[in-house]
Amino acid sequence: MSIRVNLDKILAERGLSLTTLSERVGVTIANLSILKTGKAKAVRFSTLDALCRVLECQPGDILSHDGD
Amino acid sequence: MSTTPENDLSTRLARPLGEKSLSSSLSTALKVAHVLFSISFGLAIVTAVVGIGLSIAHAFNWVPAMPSVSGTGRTVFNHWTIAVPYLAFAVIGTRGALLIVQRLQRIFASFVANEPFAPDNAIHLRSIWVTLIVIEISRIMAWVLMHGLTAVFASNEDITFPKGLGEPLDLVRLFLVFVVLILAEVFRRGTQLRNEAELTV
Repeated sequence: MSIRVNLDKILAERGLSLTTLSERVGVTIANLSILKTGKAKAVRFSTLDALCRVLECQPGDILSHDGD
Repeated sequence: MSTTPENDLSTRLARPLGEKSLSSSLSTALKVAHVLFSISFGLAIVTAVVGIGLSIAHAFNWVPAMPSVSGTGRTVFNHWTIAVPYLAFAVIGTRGALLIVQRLQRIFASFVANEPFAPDNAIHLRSIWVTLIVIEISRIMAWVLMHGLTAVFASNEDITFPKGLGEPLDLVRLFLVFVVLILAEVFRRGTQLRNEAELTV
C-alpha cells in the first residue's frame, strides 16, 4: 500500500503515548496500532476527524502518499 | 427473579445469536436430526444391498416373488428395474440429507458463537445448494431410469410405480434450491464486507 501513516512521528512531536491518544480519540489501542503499523485497509472520516482534533493537525500531517 | 417458561421462550426468540438463543435451540434440533439421518442412511444402505440383490435374484428366478410385503415393498423388491434406481436414490438422498445437516450444524455453531459471517459459512451454504442440486438430479435420473428400464425390460407386466420419487420435474423443489443458492451468494458477499470492515479503523 502506498499510503503512509505518520502517527509515530506526530505522537513523538506532541509527546503523547498511544494509550493517551486512544483515551482521547475513543479508538482502541489495538485499532490505533493497526493504523500506526500500516496494516489498516481503510480509515473512517470520523476517526480521522477525531485524530486531527486531538493532535491539532491536518489529515495531510497524518497521511502521506508514496509515489512509485 | 425466577425465570418463567414464557419468559425463557420469549428470551430465546428475541435473541437470534449467542448462548441461550434461537440458534442454540436449533443447534439442538440439528443434533437430533443428525442422529436420525445417520440411522436412515445406514438403513438405506442395508435396504439397497438386500433389495437390489433380491430383485436381481428374482429376475433370474433364483428366488420366488416376495409374498406379502406391503405394496411398495413388493413392487420394489420384485422388479430390478425399479429396485436399482429407487434404492440407489434412497442411498444418495439420505447421504445428501446427512451432509446438509452436518453443514447446517457448523453454520449454527458460528451463530451461537456470535460470528454469523464467519468466512466458512459461505462455503457451507454453497455446499448445501450443490448437494441439493445433486439430490434433485439423482431423483430425476432415478425416475427416468425406473420408467425407462421398466418400459424396456418389463413392459408386459402391470406395475404400480412407488410414489417416493414424486414427479420428474418439481418446480417447488427447484425454486427452493434457487433460494438457497441466492442465500449462499448473499452470505458470500456478507463475508467479504466483514473482511473489509475488519481492518477499518
